[in-house]
Amino acid sequence: MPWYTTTPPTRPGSLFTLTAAAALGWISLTGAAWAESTPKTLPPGCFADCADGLSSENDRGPAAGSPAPAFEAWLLDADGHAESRSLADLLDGRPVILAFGSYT
Amino acid sequence: MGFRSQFEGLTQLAERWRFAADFYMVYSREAFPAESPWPAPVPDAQPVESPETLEERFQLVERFKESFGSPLPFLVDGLDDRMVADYDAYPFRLYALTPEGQVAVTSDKGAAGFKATLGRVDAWLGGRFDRPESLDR
Repeated sequence: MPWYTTTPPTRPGSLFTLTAAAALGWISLTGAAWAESTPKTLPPGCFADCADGLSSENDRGPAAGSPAPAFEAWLLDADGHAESRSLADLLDGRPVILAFGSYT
Repeated sequence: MGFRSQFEGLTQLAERWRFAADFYMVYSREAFPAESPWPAPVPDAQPVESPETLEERFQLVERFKESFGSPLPFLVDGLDDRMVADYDAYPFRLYALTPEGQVAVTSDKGAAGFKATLGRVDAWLGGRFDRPESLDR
């Protein structure tokens, strides 16, 4: 006999309530475990709102009017070839715009 | 959610001012990789794991460029993430530097700050150079 032909529970709401409570409990426990295991200094892939909140409290980036930090990075050309470039290499008499981001 | 929502605005700004300024994408750590609590979907629908070698970073940047159709050149940070740390630029951030190497415009970190600062960079460049008329129409 298929399961759906059996007599329904006399209180169908109770099954739903139990399922919802179990789901909420699982979410709560999982979130708590993750929070305990996660360093607080860097968001390990947090939502943008989280990062926005951090910036106003603990911004260690250079402010407007200050020298830009020197760097060495790999410049990828159109063929995928990488060459090391410094900030001084890039400052060639024109403004430089740096857009930090990731694929995800 | 994520950086791709900002990317179109960035490429439009770069196209507008390419005659006057040099735009670079800076790739460092992944913001929402597959192993994180909130992995983000990407256009090619393949999971994005955090690269563990420089070569893997280069390969992921190639995926990024191909998926987004990016016309921008990419700078890739070293595995020590030194550049993103010095600029405090995780996960997303925008800087405009003068030709003398001073910070002229900086955004807050994150998607909202990035988006808001695109207009400020546009205004800053507009104060230094004549706007390209063909794009103002």
